Amino acid sequence: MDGVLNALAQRLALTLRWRPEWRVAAVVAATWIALAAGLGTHASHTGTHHAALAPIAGLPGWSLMVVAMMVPVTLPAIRHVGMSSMRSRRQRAMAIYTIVYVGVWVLFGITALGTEHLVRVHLGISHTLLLAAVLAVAGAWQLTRAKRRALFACGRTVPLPPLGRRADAGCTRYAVLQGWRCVKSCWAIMLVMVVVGHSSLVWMLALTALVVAEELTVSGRRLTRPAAGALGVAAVAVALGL
Amino acid sequence: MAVSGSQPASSLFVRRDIWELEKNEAFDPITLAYAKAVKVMQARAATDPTSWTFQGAIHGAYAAPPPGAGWNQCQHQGWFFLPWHRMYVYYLERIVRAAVKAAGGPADFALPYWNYSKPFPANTLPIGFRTTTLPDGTANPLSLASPKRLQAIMNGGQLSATVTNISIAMGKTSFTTPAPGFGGGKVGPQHFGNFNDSGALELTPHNTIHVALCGQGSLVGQCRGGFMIDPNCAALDPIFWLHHANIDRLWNNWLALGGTRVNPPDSSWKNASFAFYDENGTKVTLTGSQVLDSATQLGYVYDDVASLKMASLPPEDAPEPGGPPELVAATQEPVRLMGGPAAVTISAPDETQELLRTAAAPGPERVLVTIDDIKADINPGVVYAVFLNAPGDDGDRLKYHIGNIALFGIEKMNDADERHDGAPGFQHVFDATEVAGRLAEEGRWDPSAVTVTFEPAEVLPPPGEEDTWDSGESRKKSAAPPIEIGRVSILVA
Repeated sequence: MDGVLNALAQRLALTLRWRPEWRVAAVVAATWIALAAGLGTHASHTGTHHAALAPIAGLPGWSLMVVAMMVPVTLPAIRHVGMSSMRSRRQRAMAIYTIVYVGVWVLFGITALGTEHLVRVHLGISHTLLLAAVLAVAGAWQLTRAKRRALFACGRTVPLPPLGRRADAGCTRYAVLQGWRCVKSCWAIMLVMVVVGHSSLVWMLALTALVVAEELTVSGRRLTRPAAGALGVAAVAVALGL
Repeated sequence: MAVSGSQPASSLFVRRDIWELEKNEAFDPITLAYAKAVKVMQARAATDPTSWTFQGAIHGAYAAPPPGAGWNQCQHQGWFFLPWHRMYVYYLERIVRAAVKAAGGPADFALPYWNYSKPFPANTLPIGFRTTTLPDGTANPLSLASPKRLQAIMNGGQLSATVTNISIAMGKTSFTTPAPGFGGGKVGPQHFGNFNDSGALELTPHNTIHVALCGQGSLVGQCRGGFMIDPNCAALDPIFWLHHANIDRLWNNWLALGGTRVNPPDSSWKNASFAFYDENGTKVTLTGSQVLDSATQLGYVYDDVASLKMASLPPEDAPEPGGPPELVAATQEPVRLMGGPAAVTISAPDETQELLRTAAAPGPERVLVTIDDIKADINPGVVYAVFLNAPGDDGDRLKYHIGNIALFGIEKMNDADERHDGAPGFQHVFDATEVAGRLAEEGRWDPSAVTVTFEPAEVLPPPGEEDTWDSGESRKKSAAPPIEIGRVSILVA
């Protein structure tokens, strides 16, 4: 029995060595569990009474949502960073990459949450109309050349020097490159999440499945057009109150 | 199962060495029949699947395909490279044979192969491909003038031994992993993906021959420049088919070496299906499992190897999978190749010096050199030979040759509107274990100073003509479009 367990442990250890990004994947899984348990939902839509601070109050929840939805699509890049780094600084390199990458999405979130607040509260546009509009925009964006190009550019890299501050700077540059690329690919879909909020696990799961399939699988890239249609239908359904 | 229309095993077609055929005359019956058939095919409409244009476009084309036509299908940078090109050459050969027979040529016609890895004159372009007229005085379609081919090649120059070096590929003992394997990495069907997944045979001599036949400064685009260097024009050059027949032969020969050298057992490799057109212009499909044995399934053999019986090959125990390669040293600064030689010296930090030192000693560990984050707007038309701690000109430099950078297909890989699969970044992976071991034996393996040298491969004059030979090249060698290399790394696996 011990022999079997030892063999399994060795096999697991070897598998994890080939997957240095596994710690980040574990964080993503933990984030999903936290979101499913309702963590972070309080602050975003009910927590603050000061209107100007509402977008800021939504940031923690937004950040959790980014980790859950957008970090999975960059796991191959995190693996590339890990495999391209010296063992002594592998975890540091992957941490720098992940933090900067999430940071790019947080900056997007600040802008998007602020804009959403402005449109919904100050312009008085209803939540339903806004959701229908962003679904329509997300569907239309799926059909653009810019979306397709951003999707196809997921393999782009920058040089990663092996040592010292240059190594940190290389990881940072790579994270900014990939973060910006991912924003270009997924911004419209994430706008939907800005409107529905991260407490809606159904939306999160559905849209995460879409972006993960599109970004990480060959067959998933064929989903771009059907997804555009589905988002368009959803926009009409929301607008009609169905 | 034999493919429909293939020759019965009792009367196999034999693909022969072009330089053996042309030993006595430039236009032996096979070469002459090929030339005449090419002329017939070139006269056919581009929409005819048996035309030269259509067949070339199956590999790649700038023009929009006719409705339903399967153009731009060539499989590169992955494990479908070899089976796809075997199928492609097989059907082209059937179309050519039909044209040969219709013209009263030899009924047993089979495409010759060009074994450029043999010594002079085999390492020069076959004479029938650089003679401008056929015996009847008409234009020879096998001959392409500069810039479609490099003038130095058309003038009989010798290919560099680094360009034709097959020992690196043939030394591989597995098809796919550990990278770089012989036949390419496990990727889905793709036109062009990433160099990372290229097999050793695809890198050299496949890519290197494609680039070396066109040379530095060759324009790429719309087939106005070099043909072979450009995937969209390559198959329009009649030498393409002899080159790929040779690559196909090397696949057979590699399997014949036995041991762990076997085709992938994966059903995803064996069952992948690709479409071509037969001699009647009918669309046909083949799967990998239908082209595993050229003799019994496709009805042809090469003149230097018997039909393979792969099932009887003694399988060796596959090595236990180990951990991933560990980075032990890398350059801090990018490198730029501009057509001339360049060198970088890599110093392993204290923490990894011992690992790099012991990896060069006999043992299971491998030393890998990777050329990372490669960027080039266009293919510069230069094959850069990569050496490890190469001695001066007086040494046998091929002993320190670890691979080549040829960038065949870089324009396709740069296409932002095309899907490209594979690991992030454009990278070449070279297994330098043997060279590192040799250097250690010579006392020249110092982990604190490993020099990686990039040298442009030159076309050499024929023996004895060093002082009189006219290469026909007037371009300045220092003006090649740049290749940016983000990092040169050494890893231990």
